[in-house]
This record gives sequence, structure tokens and C-alpha cells, in this order.
Amino acid sequence: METNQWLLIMAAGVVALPAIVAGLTIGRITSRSVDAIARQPEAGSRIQSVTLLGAALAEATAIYGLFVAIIMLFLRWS
Amino acid sequence: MDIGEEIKHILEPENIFTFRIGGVEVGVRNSVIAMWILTLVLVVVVRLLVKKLETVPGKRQNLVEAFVEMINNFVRNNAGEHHYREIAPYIGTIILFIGFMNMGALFNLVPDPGEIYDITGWGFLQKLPVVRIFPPTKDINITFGLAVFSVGMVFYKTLKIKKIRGGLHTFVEPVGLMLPFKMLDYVVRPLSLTLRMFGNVMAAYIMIELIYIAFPLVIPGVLGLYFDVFDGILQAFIFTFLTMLYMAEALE
Repeated sequence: METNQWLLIMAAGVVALPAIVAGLTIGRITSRSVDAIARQPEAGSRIQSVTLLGAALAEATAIYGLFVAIIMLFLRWS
Repeated sequence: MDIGEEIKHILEPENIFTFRIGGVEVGVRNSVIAMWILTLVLVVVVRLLVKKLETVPGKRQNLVEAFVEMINNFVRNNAGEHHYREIAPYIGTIILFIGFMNMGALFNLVPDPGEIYDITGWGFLQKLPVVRIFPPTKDINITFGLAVFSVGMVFYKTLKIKKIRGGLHTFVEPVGLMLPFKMLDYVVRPLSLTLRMFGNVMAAYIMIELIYIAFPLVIPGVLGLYFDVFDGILQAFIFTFLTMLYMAEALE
């Protein structure tokens, strides 16, 4: 069916695009945090806290994409 | 075994039993019963750990005191000196509760009777019930309840410490124009907390189930160390950290 094919293609796109952006963002966060720790090792624990928090917040948007794809495929809101 | 059927069975939870209150029929889901079982195990473990408290601590009490000290320091560093005594018990409870619930897939020790029937062919195995412990947070309703409870607790602590007039004053705190944004915060924050935990736990559980269908022997246990344990504890920590940040921001 034509509707079914488009649903699958769009669901794959909805998952892939946020995942790409989240991966790049988390890579950038980690790189900056490693630079900051190398510059001032005493603040290491606090920088680690903030890094983990930023990474989890950035990853949440990728999870929103997965959630939308699950709703699209399994609840048939086409 | 059909993979589509398995995933559909995981995604749509079922009622185990229903009962009536007044004229309303209330159904009890299998995730609620899994939460009861895990809570019971957690209560028994904690009761055993705090059995006899002495002034000179033994080995068990050292562990418990180290954990309480860690939570207190964590809250004190992030939320300020004055109010950490009001916040720290709730934060410790939430991180223990959610961390223990997310690791619930490790307790899945009883195999399905259907699988043993496929191997041996004994007839009585077809009538046994399927007992499977899974992390209850893979159901979005439980996660939504926890998120609403956390944000409600933030609001309650604000009202209790700052007394009703001060609590309503935080809505217009820096500039009066922030009123719609602050009200929107109380809608958006539970939603993002819900979806973050639900998405992570559900994705990890589906991944482990699919790997278990493909290679049942050693690989699910090894990969489960990352997917179940690390991911579960990290998500519990993130939930707790964000709740603490919201409380610190509201009480400041």
C-alpha cells in the first residue's frame, strides 16, 4: 500500500534526524568539557556534573523522535 | 516467533485484574504489580541495612552513612546551605526508588513456561502463568505519575517555605513579563521528565528482548550490564538532578 510505505520512510526519517543532531551536540559538549578540565583540574567534579546534565538534556530530544516514530508505527495515526 | 507481535506485546500493557469502586471500574496493570513487588524487595533490603544503629558504626552502618553523606553533600552543593534539610530526604528517596525500579530487568530469573514446553513437551506447562519482572517505568503512566509528583513537590515546598504570598510572587520574580513563561514551565517540565525516562527505559528493554530472541545464551547478560544497569542508574540520576535543580531555582 502506498500509505504504508510512506509511513515507514517518514518514521525512519523522524528517528534519524534528531539522532544525528544529538550525536553531534553531545560530541561538542564532551570536547568543550575536556578542554575545561584540562585548563583547571580542581573544578573537575563540578564540570563533570554539568557535562552529564547537558548530555542527558541533549539526548532527550533524540528520545522524543523515537517516541513519535513508535506512535506513528504502532498506533496507526496515518 | 514473530518480532512484531513481541514488540506489540511489550508496548501495550494489559490489565491483570479489575475491581470496582462505587460505579467506576478500575483496572490494575501488570506494571503496577511489578512496582509493588520491587517496592517490597526494596523495603526488606533497607530494613535489613538499618537494623541496629550504634554510635561506633560497623560495616553495614558505614555503607548507609556514606550514602546519606553523599546525598547531603550533593544537595548542599547545588541547592545552597539554608534549605537542604527540607530537600535531601525526598531526593534520596527518589534516587533509590527509581534506580532500583529501573534495574528490575535483572531480577527476571524465572523462565517462561512456553519456552520449556517447546523443548520438553510436558503438558502441564501450558497452564502455568507467565511471571516476568520488568522495569515498571517502561509504562508511560507510571513515569507520568512520578514526574507530576516531583513537580507537585517542588510547588508544595515553595508554598511551605515562602508562605503563600511569596510562593505566588515567584511567578513574577525577575520581571512581570515572565508570568506566561513560568506557567508554561509547569506544563513542559513534567512532560519532558516523563518522555525522557520512558523513552530510555523502553528502548533499553526492547533492545535486550530482541537480543534475547536472537542469541539467548551469554550476550544478553553482558550487554545487559550497559543497557539495564548503567542506563537505568543514569536516568534515575538525571531525573533526581533535574528535580533538585527545579527546587533550588524555586527556593532561591
